Amino acid sequence: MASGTHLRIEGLGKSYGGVAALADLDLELEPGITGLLGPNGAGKTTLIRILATLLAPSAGEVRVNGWRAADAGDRVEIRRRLGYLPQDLGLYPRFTVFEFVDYLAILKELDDVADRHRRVRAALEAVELEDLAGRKIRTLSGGMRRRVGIAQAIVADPELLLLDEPTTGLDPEQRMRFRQLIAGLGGQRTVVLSTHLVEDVAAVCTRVVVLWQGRVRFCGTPTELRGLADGQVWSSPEDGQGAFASWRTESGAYRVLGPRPSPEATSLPATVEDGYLLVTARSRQDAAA
Amino acid sequence: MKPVAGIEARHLARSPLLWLGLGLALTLVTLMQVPFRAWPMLTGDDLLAYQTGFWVGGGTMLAGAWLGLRDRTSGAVDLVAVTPTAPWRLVGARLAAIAVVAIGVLAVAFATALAVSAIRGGRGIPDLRLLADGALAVTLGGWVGMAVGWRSGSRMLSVLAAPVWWAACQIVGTWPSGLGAPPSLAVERLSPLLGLTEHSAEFGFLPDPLWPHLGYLLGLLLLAGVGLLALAARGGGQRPPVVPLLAAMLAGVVLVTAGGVGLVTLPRWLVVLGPDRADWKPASEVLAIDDRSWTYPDDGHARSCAGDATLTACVYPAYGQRLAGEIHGAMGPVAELFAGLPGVPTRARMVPTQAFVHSACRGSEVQIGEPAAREVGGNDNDLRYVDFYLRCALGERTWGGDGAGGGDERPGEAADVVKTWALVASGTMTAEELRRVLAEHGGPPVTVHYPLSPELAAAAWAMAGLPTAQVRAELAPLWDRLRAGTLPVAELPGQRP
Repeated sequence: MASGTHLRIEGLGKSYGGVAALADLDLELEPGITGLLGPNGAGKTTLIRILATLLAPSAGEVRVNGWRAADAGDRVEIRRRLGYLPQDLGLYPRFTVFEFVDYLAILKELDDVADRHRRVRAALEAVELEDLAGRKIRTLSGGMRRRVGIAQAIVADPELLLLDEPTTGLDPEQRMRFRQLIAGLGGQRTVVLSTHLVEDVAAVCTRVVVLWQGRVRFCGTPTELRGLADGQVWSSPEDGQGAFASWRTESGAYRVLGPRPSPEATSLPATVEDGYLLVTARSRQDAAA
Repeated sequence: MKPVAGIEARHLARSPLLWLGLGLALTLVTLMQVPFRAWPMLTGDDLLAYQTGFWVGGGTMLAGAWLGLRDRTSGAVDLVAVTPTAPWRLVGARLAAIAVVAIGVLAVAFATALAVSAIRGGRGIPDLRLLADGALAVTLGGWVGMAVGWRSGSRMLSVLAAPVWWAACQIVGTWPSGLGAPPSLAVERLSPLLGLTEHSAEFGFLPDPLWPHLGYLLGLLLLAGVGLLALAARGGGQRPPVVPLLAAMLAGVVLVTAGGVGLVTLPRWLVVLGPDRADWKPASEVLAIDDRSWTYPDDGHARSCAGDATLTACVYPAYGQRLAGEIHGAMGPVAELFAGLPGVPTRARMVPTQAFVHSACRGSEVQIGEPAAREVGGNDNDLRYVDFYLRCALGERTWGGDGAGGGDERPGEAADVVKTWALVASGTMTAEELRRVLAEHGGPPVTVHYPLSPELAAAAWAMAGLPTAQVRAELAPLWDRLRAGTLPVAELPGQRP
C-alpha cells in the first residue's frame, strides 16, 4: 500500500495569453481525499494538470514531498508516485483493456511481469472490468472507458492520485462503486478529486477546496463547508428576494439560501452543496463589488 | 522497454496499412512471375524479391506514421506523458518495434518471391545481402513515417508522406540528371532502394553496389535514430546517454559519407570482356572503343550442356541442364537445316552480362548474354533463341560479333527470305502461323533488316514449297555470297524459272 504524499503549492499562477486561469494559489495537501470544487472555468483542470506535471505554472511552484515540479529530475520522481486520470481521457482504441493498462503499467516502471500482471488484474477487478479484460477498447461504452482510465491511474499503487472529473459518464451504481473504491484508496494516499458534483465530494472527501476564477475561496472539511450554510437554508412559500440562491422544490415550497426570506420560512438543515453554493455566490458578489 | 516494443510490434504486425503494403508486394511478385517471362532462377529472382521492398516500405511508412500519430489522435498523450518513462526510451522502443516488424514483413515478401521462383523450378543461390539491404530500407521508411506522424500530428501529412517519400526515392533512383547530378556520378544509387536490374548467377552484380549501399543505409538509420531520440529527449528530464549517441551519430556520418561516395563513384555498368576482373570494364570505356569486335572468350564457366552432333547449348551450372535443353530445343531444328554449311554455329553458349548486347557471334558459336537467355526462357512463343542462331548462321555482324568494324551490318534481302523460310522448314512455325504473323505484323518474328515486301514474302513461300533437302543442296554453293550479303533474291532456290 502506498504511503501518503505531502503536496505544497505556493503562490501558484497560470495565465493563458494574459488571462489568469490560476492566481496566487497557496495550498498544502496531506494524505486523504481532497475535493476540488468549482464552476466551469474555475481553474480546476489547470490546477490538476500543473500538479500532474503536464503544465508549467506561470508563477509560483509545486512541491511534492519536497521535489520541485519545475526541476526536470524531480519531476521524474513525482511521476513515479503519480496516478492521473485526465478529464479528456484518451485510450488506444485497438488495444484490449488488459493490454492498455499493462502498457501504462510498463511505462510506470512496473518491470516484473508476474507482479505487473497481478496488479493489472487487481486494478481491473477494482473497477469491475475483469470480465472485459480481453475486449478491444474501441468496443467499450463511455462509462467502461472511464473505468479503464481509473484502472490505469491506480495500477501502480500511486502515492498521489489526481482524478479530473472521474465520475463523468458513470451511471449512479458505478458512481457509488467508484466512491467506495476512492474511499478505500484514500486512507494512506493523497488523492485530489476535481469535480463539479458536490455529492461526490460530500461522499468521500476529507477536505474540500473551492476554486472560483482561479482563486481559492474555501479550504476546509466538508463539514466546515456545510457549516457555512448553517442557518441560511430555508423552506419558504415565497421565492427569496435578495437570496444567494433559491429554487422551487418538489413540494412546491422554495428552498432559499440566504437571509430568512419571510416570517413563514422554516429553517432547513444545510448540506455541503448549500455551503458550496454560498461560497460561489459570495465570490460572485465580491467580484461584482 | 522491451515489453513495450513487444506490444507495439504485435500491434504493428496487425496493422492493415502494413498488410496493404505486403499484399501489394505479393501481388506484384505474382504478377511479374506468373506470365513466366523470365527463366526461374533464385539468383536473379532475388532482385524481384528485393523490389517488394518498395511496397512493403510504403506500408511500413504508413504504419509507422500511424504509430507516431497515435498518442495525439487517441488523446492518450497526457497519460503517457505523466509516466516516469523518459520519452526517448518510449520512442526508442517504438523505433525498435517498427524495425522488427518491417524486417519481418519484408522477409515474408522476400521469401514468398523466392518460393514462387523455386516452385517454378528456380535454382541458384539468392544474395541475402539484398534482404539485409531491403530490410534497412523499409525500416528507414517506417522511421521516417513515424517521425512525420509524431512531429506533425497530422493525418493528412502522414498519409501524404508515404507517396512523397517514395516518389522522391524514385526520382533520385531513376532520374538523377533531372536533379542536376553530373552524368558521371551514379547518384541514383543514393535512393534507399537500389534500381538493380541484373544479377549474374556466375559473376554476381556487375558492378556490386551492395556493400557500400548497406553501409550507406545503416548510416542513414543511425542518423535518423539519433535524431529522433534527440528530439524526444528535448525538454525532458531524462537525457539519453550522450556518449553512445554521439558515437552512433559519428558512425552514421562516416557510413553515409563513405558509402555514398563509394556508391556514386562506382561505374554504372561493367562489361565483362573476360573471366578476370581486370577484363571487367565500365560500359563507358567499352562504348568509347571504336572497334567493338570483342566477344567473350571461352572461360569454361558454361558447363551445363545439352545438344547433339549439330548443335550444343551450354549455360552456367546454376541454371541447370533444363535451360540448356530449352535453348537447344529451340535452336536445334533450325540448326539441322544448315548443318555442315560453312560458318554456321555448332555451339550456343551463355556468356556474362554484357551491357546492351543480347547475343554475339564468335566463330562457330552463338554467345547469348545471361539476361537475354533468362528473359526468353520458358516462353513458348518467343523465338529469340532461333533469332540469335539465325543471325549468326547468316553471317550478321552485330556488336560484339566477328568481323572488322563490328556494328549492325545489314545482310542482303536474301538473308531475310532465308530466315523466313527457315522458320517454316524447321517446323518452328507452321505455314499458317507464319502467314498470320506476316499478315498481322508485316514481318516474321525474327530480326529482318528490310521490310518483308510481298515480293520477298513470295520468295520465302516459293522456297517453302520445295523439299528441304533440295533447298539445302541449292543453297550450299550460294552460301558464302548469302552470308556476305551479296546474293540477289532472284538466285535463291525456287526463284529461277
